Amino acid sequence: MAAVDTAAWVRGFAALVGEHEAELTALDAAIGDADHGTNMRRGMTAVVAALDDSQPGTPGEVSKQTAMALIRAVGGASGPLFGTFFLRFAAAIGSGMDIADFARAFRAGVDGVIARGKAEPGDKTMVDTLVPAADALDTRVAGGASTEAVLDAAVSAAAAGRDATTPLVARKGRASYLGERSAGHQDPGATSAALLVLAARAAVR
Amino acid sequence: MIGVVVVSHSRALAEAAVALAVGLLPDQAVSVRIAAGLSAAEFGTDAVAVAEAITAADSGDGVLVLMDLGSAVLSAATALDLLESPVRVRLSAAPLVEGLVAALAAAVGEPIWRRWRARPRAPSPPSRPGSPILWMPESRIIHNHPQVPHLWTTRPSPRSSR
Repeated sequence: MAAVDTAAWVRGFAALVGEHEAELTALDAAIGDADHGTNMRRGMTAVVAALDDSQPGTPGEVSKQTAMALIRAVGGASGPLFGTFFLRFAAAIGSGMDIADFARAFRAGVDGVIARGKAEPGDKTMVDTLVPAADALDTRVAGGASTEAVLDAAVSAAAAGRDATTPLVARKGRASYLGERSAGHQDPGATSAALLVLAARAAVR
Repeated sequence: MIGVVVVSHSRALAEAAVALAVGLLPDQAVSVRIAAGLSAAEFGTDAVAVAEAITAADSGDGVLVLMDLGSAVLSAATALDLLESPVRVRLSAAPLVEGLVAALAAAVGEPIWRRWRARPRAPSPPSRPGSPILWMPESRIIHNHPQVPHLWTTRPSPRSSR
């Protein structure tokens, strides 16, 4: 039975963040403080270095270590937010391996992000990407779809959620200081969160 | 006596704020710890460093945490999940410098509200003298931004093995 390889997922996310660093920073320059790409690349570089260093075993250990590296190295709001995602993911996944375990842990991570940042869908944040992705995972897992089909649905839902942030007025985070001027720009956090889902699809083994 | 932790994106800013507050209130002996910047030169906050500063600042009466910006609040809230042992913590919604001065003044019993009575944002006396004083000036809401949450925690969480 195919499943998401947690270490491959995290490494794939790091690679995608590296590829999209300039885009993430440009999006953040429009409505934030122009450091999202830089911060995420610094954080994910630290995550990969920690993985290379210690080679954790279980999915829980991989994601816990990922969380701590992000919390320490990112510096901006994405550190505690993505860090909390992985902390809660770690606690929920343990040594679980199948796609139902992954979906349940992903939901726990998203709930953690919402609890930490207090953002709701429609606030123009990473939550606009993560909630539709978690919903798609749950729906497809309940319907008995294959691991690949479950993640394909999550990738589509995440991309749609990301794209839907463009017309929104930001109600959370630095972009909310811009008020109406934040409309018309895709949210950087929603964009990096979509890369997280894309990396999970690519890490099916 | 309470401890105080200053969380800022800039180490230089945190050090200057602490120097100012201590300069205004030279007779106090509050334990003030700084968790600021990713390094001396790099801006950012680190929840692990905040958790370590909270632990170091606590002498048993609890810790007041002051923050400079929204993502510092997220890091401070995340730090509460990382505490190895229970510490009574309050995240203050006060502006960083004013909150720091007010906290040190309250901790030492300095009647700062008398000295500053003529000022429009003068604080008023704490309501529970004798207990660890955690009264703070009201923060102002900027652009309808939600206020920083006030929270106490006594719940230890398992700390990751690093």
